[in-house]
Amino acid sequence: MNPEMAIYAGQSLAIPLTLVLAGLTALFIPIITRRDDSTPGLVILTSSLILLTFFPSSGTAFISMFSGALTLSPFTNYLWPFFLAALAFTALISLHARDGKPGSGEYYFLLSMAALGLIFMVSAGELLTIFIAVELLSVCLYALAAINRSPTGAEAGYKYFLLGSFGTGMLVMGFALVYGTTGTLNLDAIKLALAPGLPFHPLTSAGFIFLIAGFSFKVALVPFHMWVPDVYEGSPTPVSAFMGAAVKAGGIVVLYRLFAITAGAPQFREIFWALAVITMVLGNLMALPQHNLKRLLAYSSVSHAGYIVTGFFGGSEGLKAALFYLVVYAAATIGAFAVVAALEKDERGVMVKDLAGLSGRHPYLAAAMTLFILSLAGIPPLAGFFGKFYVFTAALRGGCTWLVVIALLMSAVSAYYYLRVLVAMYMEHEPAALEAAPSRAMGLALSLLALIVTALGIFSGPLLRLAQSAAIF
Amino acid sequence: MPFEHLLVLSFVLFTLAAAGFLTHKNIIVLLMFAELMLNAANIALVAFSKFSGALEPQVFVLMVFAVAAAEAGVGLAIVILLARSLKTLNIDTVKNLRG
Repeated sequence: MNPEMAIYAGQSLAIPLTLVLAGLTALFIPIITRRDDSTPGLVILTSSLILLTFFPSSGTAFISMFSGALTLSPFTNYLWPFFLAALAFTALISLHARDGKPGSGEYYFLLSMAALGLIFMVSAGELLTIFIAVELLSVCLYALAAINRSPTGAEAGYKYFLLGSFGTGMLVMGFALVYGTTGTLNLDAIKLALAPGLPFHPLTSAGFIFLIAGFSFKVALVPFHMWVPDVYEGSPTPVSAFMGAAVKAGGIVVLYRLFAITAGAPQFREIFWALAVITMVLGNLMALPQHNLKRLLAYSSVSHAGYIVTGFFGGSEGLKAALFYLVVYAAATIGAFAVVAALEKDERGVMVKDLAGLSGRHPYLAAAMTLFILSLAGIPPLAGFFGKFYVFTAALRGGCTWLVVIALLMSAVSAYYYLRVLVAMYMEHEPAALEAAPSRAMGLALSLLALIVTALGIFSGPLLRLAQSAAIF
Repeated sequence: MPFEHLLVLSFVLFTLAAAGFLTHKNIIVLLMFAELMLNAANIALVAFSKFSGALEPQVFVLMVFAVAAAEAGVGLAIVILLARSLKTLNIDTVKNLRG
Protein backbone atom coordinates (compact mmCIF):
# COMPACT_ATOMS: atom_id res chain seq x y z
CA MET A 1 0.00 0.00 0.00
CA ASN A 2 1.57 3.32 -1.03
CA PRO A 3 1.65 6.24 1.43
CA GLU A 4 -1.17 8.13 -0.30
CA MET A 5 -3.48 5.15 -0.02
CA ALA A 6 -2.45 4.59 3.61
CA ILE A 7 -3.41 8.19 4.44
CA TYR A 8 -6.71 7.73 2.66
CA ALA A 9 -7.39 4.47 4.51
CA GLY A 10 -6.65 6.21 7.82
CA GLN A 11 -8.95 9.11 6.98
CA SER A 12 -11.71 6.72 6.00
CA LEU A 13 -11.37 4.72 9.21
CA ALA A 14 -11.72 7.97 11.13
CA ILE A 15 -15.34 8.11 9.98
CA PRO A 16 -16.66 5.08 11.90
CA LEU A 17 -14.46 6.01 14.87
CA THR A 18 -15.87 9.55 14.96
CA LEU A 19 -19.35 8.09 14.79
CA VAL A 20 -18.63 5.90 17.83
CA LEU A 21 -17.27 8.89 19.76
CA ALA A 22 -20.25 11.04 18.78
CA GLY A 23 -22.63 8.28 19.85
CA LEU A 24 -20.92 7.89 23.22
CA THR A 25 -20.97 11.66 23.72
CA ALA A 26 -24.67 11.72 22.99
CA LEU A 27 -25.20 8.85 25.44
CA PHE A 28 -23.31 10.42 28.34
CA ILE A 29 -24.28 14.10 28.03
CA PRO A 30 -27.77 13.68 29.60
CA ILE A 31 -26.25 11.52 32.36
CA ILE A 32 -23.69 14.19 33.24
CA THR A 33 -25.89 17.27 32.87
CA ARG A 34 -29.00 15.51 34.28
CA ARG A 35 -31.19 17.26 31.72
CA ASP A 36 -33.28 15.86 28.89
CA ASP A 37 -32.92 18.43 26.14
CA SER A 38 -31.94 18.40 22.50
CA THR A 39 -28.15 18.42 23.06
CA PRO A 40 -27.57 14.72 22.16
CA GLY A 41 -29.50 15.18 18.92
CA LEU A 42 -27.45 18.24 18.03
CA VAL A 43 -24.22 16.30 18.75
CA ILE A 44 -25.19 13.55 16.29
CA LEU A 45 -26.47 16.07 13.74
CA THR A 46 -23.34 18.23 13.77
CA SER A 47 -20.92 15.29 13.77
CA SER A 48 -22.62 13.65 10.80
CA LEU A 49 -22.62 16.99 8.97
CA ILE A 50 -18.90 17.48 9.73
CA LEU A 51 -18.14 13.95 8.50
CA LEU A 52 -20.12 14.66 5.32
CA THR A 53 -18.26 17.92 4.72
CA PHE A 54 -14.79 16.43 5.16
CA PHE A 55 -15.58 13.12 3.52
CA PRO A 56 -12.33 11.72 2.04
CA SER A 57 -12.72 10.44 -1.50
CA SER A 58 -10.07 8.48 -3.33
CA GLY A 59 -11.65 8.21 -6.75
CA THR A 60 -11.42 4.70 -8.08
CA ALA A 61 -9.02 3.06 -5.60
CA PHE A 62 -9.82 -0.35 -4.10
CA ILE A 63 -8.26 -0.82 -0.66
CA SER A 64 -8.53 -3.97 1.38
CA MET A 65 -7.98 -3.59 5.14
CA PHE A 66 -7.68 -5.95 8.14
CA SER A 67 -6.75 -8.92 5.91
CA GLY A 68 -9.78 -8.40 3.71
CA ALA A 69 -12.38 -7.91 6.46
CA LEU A 70 -13.13 -4.35 5.30
CA THR A 71 -12.80 -2.96 1.79
CA LEU A 72 -12.87 0.65 0.64
CA SER A 73 -14.00 1.12 -2.93
CA PRO A 74 -15.86 3.61 -5.15
CA PHE A 75 -18.92 1.75 -3.92
CA THR A 76 -18.31 2.77 -0.29
CA ASN A 77 -17.42 6.29 -1.48
CA TYR A 78 -21.00 6.55 -2.67
CA LEU A 79 -22.82 4.73 0.14
CA TRP A 80 -21.03 6.04 3.26
CA PRO A 81 -22.07 9.67 2.60
CA PHE A 82 -25.57 8.40 1.82
CA PHE A 83 -25.84 6.73 5.24
CA LEU A 84 -24.36 9.77 6.97
CA ALA A 85 -26.91 12.00 5.25
CA ALA A 86 -29.72 9.62 6.22
CA LEU A 87 -28.48 9.75 9.83
CA ALA A 88 -28.35 13.57 9.72
CA PHE A 89 -31.91 13.83 8.39
CA THR A 90 -33.22 11.29 10.89
CA ALA A 91 -31.56 13.21 13.73
CA LEU A 92 -33.05 16.47 12.40
CA ILE A 93 -36.58 14.99 12.33
CA SER A 94 -36.04 13.39 15.75
CA LEU A 95 -35.24 16.81 17.23
CA HIS A 96 -38.87 17.68 16.59
CA ALA A 97 -40.38 14.31 17.56
CA ARG A 98 -38.41 13.77 20.77
CA ASP A 99 -38.79 17.24 22.26
CA GLY A 100 -39.26 16.88 25.98
CA LYS A 101 -39.16 13.06 25.97
CA PRO A 102 -36.77 11.29 28.32
CA GLY A 103 -34.06 8.91 27.14
CA SER A 104 -32.89 10.92 24.16
CA GLY A 105 -29.24 10.09 24.95
CA GLU A 106 -29.84 6.36 24.39
CA TYR A 107 -31.98 7.11 21.36
CA TYR A 108 -29.28 9.03 19.48
CA PHE A 109 -26.58 6.59 20.62
CA LEU A 110 -28.53 3.65 19.17
CA LEU A 111 -29.27 5.61 16.00
CA SER A 112 -25.60 6.37 15.35
CA MET A 113 -24.60 2.75 16.14
CA ALA A 114 -27.21 1.57 13.62
CA ALA A 115 -25.62 3.88 11.03
CA LEU A 116 -22.23 2.43 11.98
CA GLY A 117 -23.58 -1.08 11.34
CA LEU A 118 -24.75 0.04 7.90
CA ILE A 119 -21.37 1.57 7.12
CA PHE A 120 -19.58 -1.69 7.96
CA MET A 121 -22.19 -3.77 6.19
CA VAL A 122 -21.61 -2.20 2.77
CA SER A 123 -17.82 -2.23 3.08
CA ALA A 124 -17.59 -5.83 4.30
CA GLY A 125 -15.22 -8.08 2.41
CA GLU A 126 -15.93 -11.14 4.53
CA LEU A 127 -18.95 -13.08 5.73
CA LEU A 128 -17.93 -12.54 9.36
CA THR A 129 -17.88 -8.73 8.91
CA ILE A 130 -21.30 -8.86 7.28
CA PHE A 131 -22.66 -10.91 10.18
CA ILE A 132 -21.34 -8.60 12.89
CA ALA A 133 -22.46 -5.48 11.00
CA VAL A 134 -25.96 -6.87 10.43
CA GLU A 135 -26.29 -7.76 14.10
CA LEU A 136 -24.97 -4.37 15.26
CA LEU A 137 -27.63 -2.79 13.07
CA SER A 138 -30.44 -5.15 14.09
CA VAL A 139 -29.87 -5.09 17.85
CA CYS A 140 -29.89 -1.27 17.77
CA LEU A 141 -33.09 -1.26 15.74
CA TYR A 142 -34.91 -3.70 18.08
CA ALA A 143 -34.22 -1.33 20.95
CA LEU A 144 -35.07 1.77 18.89
CA ALA A 145 -38.46 0.33 17.90
CA ALA A 146 -39.42 -0.03 21.57
CA ILE A 147 -37.64 3.06 22.89
CA ASN A 148 -40.81 5.00 23.77
CA ARG A 149 -41.73 2.18 26.22
CA SER A 150 -45.36 2.39 25.09
CA PRO A 151 -47.46 -0.78 24.60
CA THR A 152 -47.46 -0.34 20.81
CA GLY A 153 -43.71 0.36 20.84
CA ALA A 154 -43.09 -2.79 22.89
CA GLU A 155 -45.19 -4.79 20.49
CA ALA A 156 -43.34 -3.39 17.47
CA GLY A 157 -39.99 -4.06 19.13
CA TYR A 158 -41.01 -7.60 20.06
CA LYS A 159 -42.27 -8.49 16.59
CA TYR A 160 -39.15 -7.05 14.98
CA PHE A 161 -36.91 -8.83 17.47
CA LEU A 162 -38.65 -12.19 17.07
CA LEU A 163 -38.66 -12.27 13.27
CA GLY A 164 -35.22 -10.67 13.22
CA SER A 165 -33.74 -13.45 15.38
CA PHE A 166 -35.40 -16.05 13.17
CA GLY A 167 -33.69 -14.30 10.23
CA THR A 168 -30.39 -14.29 12.13
CA GLY A 169 -30.67 -18.04 12.70
CA MET A 170 -31.08 -18.59 8.98
CA LEU A 171 -28.18 -16.23 8.23
CA VAL A 172 -25.75 -18.09 10.51
CA MET A 173 -26.81 -21.43 9.02
CA GLY A 174 -26.28 -19.94 5.56
CA PHE A 175 -22.83 -18.61 6.51
CA ALA A 176 -21.91 -22.05 7.92
CA LEU A 177 -22.98 -23.92 4.79
CA VAL A 178 -21.35 -21.48 2.36
CA TYR A 179 -18.13 -21.58 4.38
CA GLY A 180 -18.21 -25.34 4.70
CA THR A 181 -18.56 -25.97 0.99
CA THR A 182 -16.27 -23.25 -0.34
CA GLY A 183 -13.66 -23.29 2.44
CA THR A 184 -13.38 -19.50 2.78
CA LEU A 185 -15.14 -16.56 4.41
CA ASN A 186 -13.85 -14.01 1.88
CA LEU A 187 -16.52 -12.87 -0.59
CA ASP A 188 -14.19 -12.57 -3.59
CA ALA A 189 -12.68 -15.98 -2.86
CA ILE A 190 -16.17 -17.49 -2.58
CA LYS A 191 -17.01 -16.14 -6.01
CA LEU A 192 -13.80 -17.69 -7.39
CA ALA A 193 -14.50 -21.01 -5.66
CA LEU A 194 -17.84 -21.33 -7.44
CA ALA A 195 -16.73 -22.37 -10.91
CA PRO A 196 -18.97 -20.72 -13.53
CA GLY A 197 -21.13 -23.06 -15.59
CA LEU A 198 -20.94 -25.95 -13.13
CA PRO A 199 -23.96 -26.57 -10.90
CA PHE A 200 -23.45 -25.65 -7.22
CA HIS A 201 -22.99 -28.31 -4.57
CA PRO A 202 -26.45 -28.88 -3.02
CA LEU A 203 -25.21 -27.66 0.37
CA THR A 204 -23.82 -24.49 -1.24
CA SER A 205 -27.19 -23.85 -2.87
CA ALA A 206 -28.94 -24.44 0.45
CA GLY A 207 -26.52 -22.03 2.13
CA PHE A 208 -27.17 -19.29 -0.40
CA ILE A 209 -30.93 -19.84 -0.13
CA PHE A 210 -30.65 -19.38 3.66
CA LEU A 211 -28.60 -16.21 3.12
CA ILE A 212 -31.03 -14.78 0.55
CA ALA A 213 -33.97 -15.57 2.85
CA GLY A 214 -32.19 -13.99 5.83
CA PHE A 215 -31.44 -10.77 3.99
CA SER A 216 -34.90 -10.71 2.43
CA PHE A 217 -36.12 -10.44 6.04
CA LYS A 218 -33.96 -7.35 6.55
CA VAL A 219 -34.98 -5.77 3.23
CA ALA A 220 -38.61 -6.92 3.59
CA LEU A 221 -39.10 -8.72 0.31
CA VAL A 222 -42.40 -10.65 0.12
CA PRO A 223 -42.86 -13.34 1.59
CA PHE A 224 -40.50 -12.15 4.36
CA HIS A 225 -42.26 -8.82 4.94
CA MET A 226 -44.81 -9.74 7.65
CA TRP A 227 -43.13 -7.62 10.31
CA VAL A 228 -42.88 -4.44 8.23
CA PRO A 229 -46.31 -2.80 8.62
CA ASP A 230 -46.55 -3.52 12.35
CA VAL A 231 -43.00 -2.43 13.10
CA TYR A 232 -43.21 0.74 11.01
CA GLU A 233 -46.53 1.63 12.63
CA GLY A 234 -45.47 0.98 16.22
CA SER A 235 -41.95 2.46 16.09
CA PRO A 236 -41.25 6.16 16.64
CA THR A 237 -41.79 7.80 13.25
CA PRO A 238 -38.18 8.99 12.69
CA VAL A 239 -37.04 5.40 13.35
CA SER A 240 -39.52 4.15 10.74
CA ALA A 241 -38.06 6.70 8.32
CA PHE A 242 -34.53 5.46 9.03
CA MET A 243 -35.62 1.82 8.59
CA GLY A 244 -37.43 2.57 5.36
CA ALA A 245 -34.59 4.55 3.81
CA ALA A 246 -31.16 3.60 5.16
CA VAL A 247 -31.65 0.07 6.53
CA LYS A 248 -33.37 -1.01 3.36
CA ALA A 249 -30.47 0.39 1.29
CA GLY A 250 -27.90 -1.55 3.34
CA GLY A 251 -29.83 -4.80 2.92
CA ILE A 252 -30.27 -4.22 -0.80
CA VAL A 253 -26.51 -3.77 -1.20
CA VAL A 254 -25.76 -7.10 0.52
CA LEU A 255 -28.49 -8.79 -1.56
CA TYR A 256 -26.83 -7.39 -4.68
CA ARG A 257 -23.50 -8.88 -3.62
CA LEU A 258 -25.20 -12.27 -3.12
CA PHE A 259 -26.81 -11.82 -6.54
CA ALA A 260 -23.41 -11.08 -8.11
CA ILE A 261 -21.75 -14.06 -6.38
CA THR A 262 -24.46 -16.52 -7.42
CA ALA A 263 -24.81 -15.05 -10.93
CA GLY A 264 -23.18 -18.17 -12.42
CA ALA A 265 -26.16 -20.35 -11.50
CA PRO A 266 -29.40 -19.76 -13.43
CA GLN A 267 -31.65 -21.05 -10.65
CA PHE A 268 -30.57 -18.17 -8.38
CA ARG A 269 -31.45 -15.65 -11.08
CA GLU A 270 -34.90 -17.24 -11.07
CA ILE A 271 -35.16 -16.97 -7.28
CA PHE A 272 -34.39 -13.23 -7.42
CA TRP A 273 -36.78 -12.86 -10.36
CA ALA A 274 -39.57 -14.51 -8.39
CA LEU A 275 -38.81 -12.46 -5.25
CA ALA A 276 -38.96 -9.22 -7.26
CA VAL A 277 -42.26 -10.16 -8.91
CA ILE A 278 -44.07 -11.28 -5.72
CA THR A 279 -42.73 -8.26 -3.85
CA MET A 280 -43.96 -5.78 -6.44
CA VAL A 281 -47.36 -7.44 -6.91
CA LEU A 282 -48.25 -8.21 -3.29
CA GLY A 283 -46.55 -5.10 -1.83
CA ASN A 284 -48.67 -2.83 -4.00
CA LEU A 285 -51.90 -4.82 -3.66
CA MET A 286 -51.64 -4.93 0.14
CA ALA A 287 -51.05 -1.17 0.26
CA LEU A 288 -54.42 -0.51 -1.40
CA PRO A 289 -56.75 -1.07 1.61
CA GLN A 290 -54.51 0.66 4.21
CA HIS A 291 -55.96 3.56 6.22
CA ASN A 292 -53.05 4.30 8.52
CA LEU A 293 -50.52 6.52 6.74
CA LYS A 294 -47.51 4.78 8.31
CA ARG A 295 -48.80 1.35 7.28
CA LEU A 296 -49.43 2.66 3.77
CA LEU A 297 -45.85 3.97 3.58
CA ALA A 298 -44.60 0.64 4.98
CA TYR A 299 -46.24 -1.34 2.19
CA SER A 300 -45.04 1.24 -0.31
CA SER A 301 -41.48 0.67 0.95
CA VAL A 302 -41.96 -3.09 0.48
CA SER A 303 -42.94 -2.59 -3.15
CA HIS A 304 -40.05 -0.17 -3.80
CA ALA A 305 -37.62 -2.88 -2.67
CA GLY A 306 -39.12 -4.98 -5.46
CA TYR A 307 -38.46 -2.24 -8.05
CA ILE A 308 -34.84 -1.96 -6.90
CA VAL A 309 -34.29 -5.73 -7.15
CA THR A 310 -35.57 -5.43 -10.74
CA GLY A 311 -32.50 -3.28 -11.42
CA PHE A 312 -30.16 -6.14 -10.46
CA PHE A 313 -30.90 -7.78 -13.82
CA GLY A 314 -29.41 -4.89 -15.80
CA GLY A 315 -25.72 -5.62 -15.13
CA SER A 316 -23.54 -2.64 -14.17
CA GLU A 317 -26.04 -0.30 -15.84
CA GLY A 318 -28.66 -1.76 -13.52
CA LEU A 319 -26.47 -1.35 -10.45
CA LYS A 320 -25.95 2.29 -11.33
CA ALA A 321 -29.70 2.76 -11.70
CA ALA A 322 -30.34 0.94 -8.40
CA LEU A 323 -27.83 3.13 -6.57
CA PHE A 324 -29.49 6.24 -8.02
CA TYR A 325 -32.90 4.85 -7.06
CA LEU A 326 -31.82 4.21 -3.47
CA VAL A 327 -31.03 7.91 -2.96
CA VAL A 328 -34.14 9.36 -4.57
CA TYR A 329 -36.37 6.79 -2.84
CA ALA A 330 -34.72 7.47 0.52
CA ALA A 331 -35.23 11.25 0.20
CA ALA A 332 -38.93 10.84 -0.61
CA THR A 333 -39.48 8.21 2.11
CA ILE A 334 -37.78 10.18 4.88
CA GLY A 335 -39.76 13.21 3.72
CA ALA A 336 -43.11 11.41 3.80
CA PHE A 337 -42.42 9.99 7.28
CA ALA A 338 -41.31 13.46 8.41
CA VAL A 339 -44.70 14.86 7.41
CA VAL A 340 -46.33 12.10 9.49
CA ALA A 341 -44.05 13.00 12.40
CA ALA A 342 -45.07 16.66 12.08
CA LEU A 343 -48.76 15.75 12.18
CA GLU A 344 -48.97 12.98 14.77
CA LYS A 345 -50.09 13.77 18.26
CA ASP A 346 -50.55 10.45 20.08
CA GLU A 347 -50.24 6.69 19.83
CA ARG A 348 -53.15 6.43 17.43
CA GLY A 349 -51.06 7.65 14.50
CA VAL A 350 -52.20 9.49 11.38
CA MET A 351 -54.97 8.12 9.16
CA VAL A 352 -55.32 9.05 5.51
CA LYS A 353 -58.68 10.69 6.22
CA ASP A 354 -57.05 12.84 8.92
CA LEU A 355 -55.25 14.64 6.10
CA ALA A 356 -58.55 16.09 4.84
CA GLY A 357 -58.23 19.80 4.25
CA LEU A 358 -54.53 19.89 5.12
CA SER A 359 -53.86 22.08 2.06
CA GLY A 360 -56.02 24.83 3.59
CA ARG A 361 -54.55 24.75 7.09
CA HIS A 362 -50.91 23.95 6.32
CA PRO A 363 -50.26 24.71 2.63
CA TYR A 364 -46.47 24.22 2.88
CA LEU A 365 -46.77 20.88 4.69
CA ALA A 366 -49.30 19.71 2.10
CA ALA A 367 -47.08 20.90 -0.76
CA ALA A 368 -44.05 19.04 0.63
CA MET A 369 -46.13 15.88 1.12
CA THR A 370 -47.36 16.21 -2.48
CA LEU A 371 -43.80 16.31 -3.79
CA PHE A 372 -42.76 13.24 -1.77
CA ILE A 373 -45.86 11.23 -2.70
CA LEU A 374 -45.61 12.13 -6.39
CA SER A 375 -41.93 11.20 -6.37
CA LEU A 376 -42.73 7.83 -4.76
CA ALA A 377 -45.46 7.30 -7.35
CA GLY A 378 -42.96 8.11 -10.11
CA ILE A 379 -44.56 11.15 -11.72
CA PRO A 380 -42.26 13.30 -13.93
CA PRO A 381 -40.40 15.62 -13.51
CA LEU A 382 -39.70 14.47 -9.94
CA ALA A 383 -36.72 12.32 -9.01
CA GLY A 384 -38.76 9.15 -8.43
CA PHE A 385 -39.76 9.05 -12.09
CA PHE A 386 -36.15 9.09 -13.29
CA GLY A 387 -35.20 6.46 -10.70
CA LYS A 388 -37.87 4.12 -12.05
CA PHE A 389 -37.04 5.06 -15.63
CA TYR A 390 -33.35 4.17 -15.30
CA VAL A 391 -34.00 0.95 -13.32
CA PHE A 392 -36.62 -0.32 -15.76
CA THR A 393 -34.55 0.63 -18.85
CA ALA A 394 -31.54 -1.21 -17.46
CA ALA A 395 -33.63 -4.32 -16.68
CA LEU A 396 -35.12 -4.14 -20.19
CA ARG A 397 -31.62 -4.05 -21.72
CA GLY A 398 -30.74 -7.01 -19.50
CA GLY A 399 -33.47 -8.97 -21.28
CA CYS A 400 -36.13 -9.08 -18.55
CA THR A 401 -39.09 -7.82 -20.57
CA TRP A 402 -41.76 -9.54 -18.49
CA LEU A 403 -40.29 -8.31 -15.23
CA VAL A 404 -40.46 -4.72 -16.52
CA VAL A 405 -44.01 -5.19 -17.81
CA ILE A 406 -45.11 -6.37 -14.34
CA ALA A 407 -43.19 -3.52 -12.69
CA LEU A 408 -44.89 -0.94 -14.91
CA LEU A 409 -48.33 -2.44 -14.26
CA MET A 410 -47.76 -2.43 -10.52
CA SER A 411 -46.50 1.18 -10.62
CA ALA A 412 -49.82 2.07 -12.22
CA VAL A 413 -51.64 0.26 -9.39
CA SER A 414 -49.53 2.12 -6.83
CA ALA A 415 -50.70 5.46 -8.24
CA TYR A 416 -54.14 4.65 -6.78
CA TYR A 417 -53.10 4.59 -3.13
CA TYR A 418 -50.62 7.44 -3.52
CA LEU A 419 -53.24 9.64 -5.16
CA ARG A 420 -55.71 8.82 -2.34
CA VAL A 421 -53.38 10.76 -0.03
CA LEU A 422 -53.34 13.75 -2.39
CA VAL A 423 -57.12 13.64 -2.84
CA ALA A 424 -57.58 13.71 0.95
CA MET A 425 -55.26 16.71 1.30
CA TYR A 426 -56.61 18.84 -1.55
CA MET A 427 -60.16 17.80 -2.41
CA GLU A 428 -61.76 16.94 0.91
CA HIS A 429 -62.73 19.81 3.19
CA GLU A 430 -63.90 18.62 6.50
CA PRO A 431 -62.89 20.19 9.78
CA ALA A 432 -60.33 17.58 10.79
CA ALA A 433 -58.89 17.26 14.26
CA LEU A 434 -55.21 17.20 13.37
CA GLU A 435 -53.36 20.43 13.95
CA ALA A 436 -49.66 20.50 13.18
CA ALA A 437 -47.07 22.77 14.67
CA PRO A 438 -43.91 21.95 12.72
CA SER A 439 -40.82 23.07 14.59
CA ARG A 440 -37.97 24.90 12.88
CA ALA A 441 -35.88 21.71 12.63
CA MET A 442 -38.78 19.92 10.97
CA GLY A 443 -39.32 22.82 8.56
CA LEU A 444 -35.66 22.76 7.60
CA ALA A 445 -35.66 18.99 7.04
CA LEU A 446 -38.84 19.13 4.96
CA SER A 447 -37.64 21.98 2.75
CA LEU A 448 -34.25 20.33 2.15
CA LEU A 449 -35.85 16.98 1.29
CA ALA A 450 -38.41 18.62 -1.00
CA LEU A 451 -35.54 20.46 -2.70
CA ILE A 452 -33.61 17.19 -3.17
CA VAL A 453 -36.62 15.36 -4.59
CA THR A 454 -37.27 18.15 -7.09
CA ALA A 455 -33.65 18.97 -7.97
CA LEU A 456 -32.65 15.36 -8.55
CA GLY A 457 -35.53 15.09 -10.99
CA ILE A 458 -34.62 18.16 -13.02
CA PHE A 459 -30.83 17.80 -12.73
CA SER A 460 -30.27 14.07 -12.34
CA GLY A 461 -26.88 14.25 -14.14
CA PRO A 462 -24.44 14.80 -11.24
CA LEU A 463 -25.87 12.09 -8.98
CA LEU A 464 -26.11 9.72 -11.94
CA ARG A 465 -22.42 10.31 -12.70
CA LEU A 466 -21.57 9.57 -9.06
CA ALA A 467 -23.63 6.37 -9.21
CA GLN A 468 -21.87 5.51 -12.49
CA SER A 469 -18.45 5.78 -10.89
CA ALA A 470 -19.64 3.73 -7.89
CA ALA A 471 -21.14 0.93 -9.97
CA ILE A 472 -17.90 -0.89 -10.67
CA PHE A 473 -17.91 -3.94 -8.51
CA MET B 1 -17.08 -38.91 15.79
CA PRO B 2 -17.26 -38.59 12.00
CA PHE B 3 -17.85 -35.17 10.52
CA GLU B 4 -21.09 -36.20 8.78
CA HIS B 5 -22.74 -37.15 12.08
CA LEU B 6 -22.10 -33.69 13.50
CA LEU B 7 -23.58 -32.12 10.40
CA VAL B 8 -26.68 -34.29 10.58
CA LEU B 9 -27.09 -33.41 14.27
CA SER B 10 -26.86 -29.75 13.36
CA PHE B 11 -29.51 -30.02 10.62
CA VAL B 12 -31.89 -32.01 12.82
CA LEU B 13 -31.51 -29.51 15.67
CA PHE B 14 -32.00 -26.59 13.29
CA THR B 15 -35.18 -28.10 11.82
CA LEU B 16 -36.59 -28.88 15.27
CA ALA B 17 -35.81 -25.36 16.49
CA ALA B 18 -37.40 -23.75 13.42
CA ALA B 19 -40.47 -25.99 13.76
CA GLY B 20 -40.74 -25.19 17.47
CA PHE B 21 -40.40 -21.48 16.71
CA LEU B 22 -43.28 -21.63 14.26
CA THR B 23 -45.66 -23.62 16.49
CA HIS B 24 -45.19 -22.43 20.08
CA LYS B 25 -47.24 -19.69 21.75
CA ASN B 26 -45.17 -18.58 24.74
CA ILE B 27 -43.26 -15.34 24.26
CA ILE B 28 -40.17 -16.56 26.13
CA VAL B 29 -40.14 -20.07 24.63
CA LEU B 30 -40.01 -18.48 21.17
CA LEU B 31 -36.90 -16.60 22.24
CA MET B 32 -35.31 -19.88 23.35
CA PHE B 33 -36.05 -21.54 20.00
CA ALA B 34 -34.41 -18.63 18.18
CA GLU B 35 -31.28 -19.15 20.31
CA LEU B 36 -31.44 -22.88 19.58
CA MET B 37 -31.37 -22.15 15.84
CA LEU B 38 -28.16 -20.16 16.33
CA ASN B 39 -26.59 -23.01 18.30
CA ALA B 40 -27.56 -25.57 15.65
CA ALA B 41 -25.73 -23.41 13.10
CA ASN B 42 -22.79 -23.21 15.52
CA ILE B 43 -22.55 -27.02 15.54
CA ALA B 44 -22.39 -26.96 11.73
CA LEU B 45 -19.55 -24.40 11.88
CA VAL B 46 -17.61 -26.49 14.37
CA ALA B 47 -18.19 -29.60 12.24
CA PHE B 48 -16.69 -27.83 9.22
CA SER B 49 -13.77 -26.70 11.37
CA LYS B 50 -13.17 -30.32 12.42
CA PHE B 51 -13.35 -31.40 8.78
CA SER B 52 -10.95 -28.82 7.34
CA GLY B 53 -8.75 -28.15 10.36
CA ALA B 54 -9.18 -24.39 9.85
CA LEU B 55 -9.78 -22.17 12.88
CA GLU B 56 -11.89 -19.46 11.16
CA PRO B 57 -15.23 -21.20 11.87
CA GLN B 58 -14.40 -21.48 15.55
CA VAL B 59 -13.74 -17.74 15.66
CA PHE B 60 -17.07 -17.30 13.91
CA VAL B 61 -18.75 -19.41 16.63
CA LEU B 62 -17.28 -17.21 19.37
CA MET B 63 -18.62 -14.13 17.56
CA VAL B 64 -22.04 -15.77 17.28
CA PHE B 65 -21.99 -16.40 21.07
CA ALA B 66 -21.18 -12.74 21.74
CA VAL B 67 -23.82 -11.48 19.34
CA ALA B 68 -26.45 -13.92 20.63
CA ALA B 69 -25.82 -12.70 24.18
CA ALA B 70 -26.26 -9.06 23.13
CA GLU B 71 -29.39 -9.96 21.19
CA ALA B 72 -30.86 -11.90 24.11
CA GLY B 73 -30.16 -8.93 26.41
CA VAL B 74 -32.12 -6.51 24.24
CA GLY B 75 -34.75 -9.16 23.54
CA LEU B 76 -35.43 -9.89 27.22
CA ALA B 77 -35.70 -6.17 27.94
CA ILE B 78 -38.35 -5.89 25.25
CA VAL B 79 -40.13 -9.02 26.55
CA ILE B 80 -40.30 -7.53 30.06
CA LEU B 81 -41.71 -4.29 28.62
CA LEU B 82 -44.29 -6.26 26.66
CA ALA B 83 -45.21 -8.62 29.53
CA ARG B 84 -45.85 -5.59 31.77
CA SER B 85 -48.36 -4.11 29.35
CA LEU B 86 -50.01 -7.46 28.47
CA LYS B 87 -50.01 -9.16 31.91
CA THR B 88 -49.63 -12.53 30.11
CA LEU B 89 -47.01 -14.39 28.05
CA ASN B 90 -49.29 -15.72 25.32
CA ILE B 91 -48.28 -14.56 21.84
CA ASP B 92 -51.94 -14.49 20.68
CA THR B 93 -52.57 -11.45 22.87
CA VAL B 94 -49.96 -9.45 20.93
CA LYS B 95 -52.26 -7.95 18.35
CA ASN B 96 -52.73 -4.24 18.91
CA LEU B 97 -51.06 -3.43 15.62
CA ARG B 98 -52.91 -4.67 12.58
CA GLY B 99 -54.21 -3.19 9.34
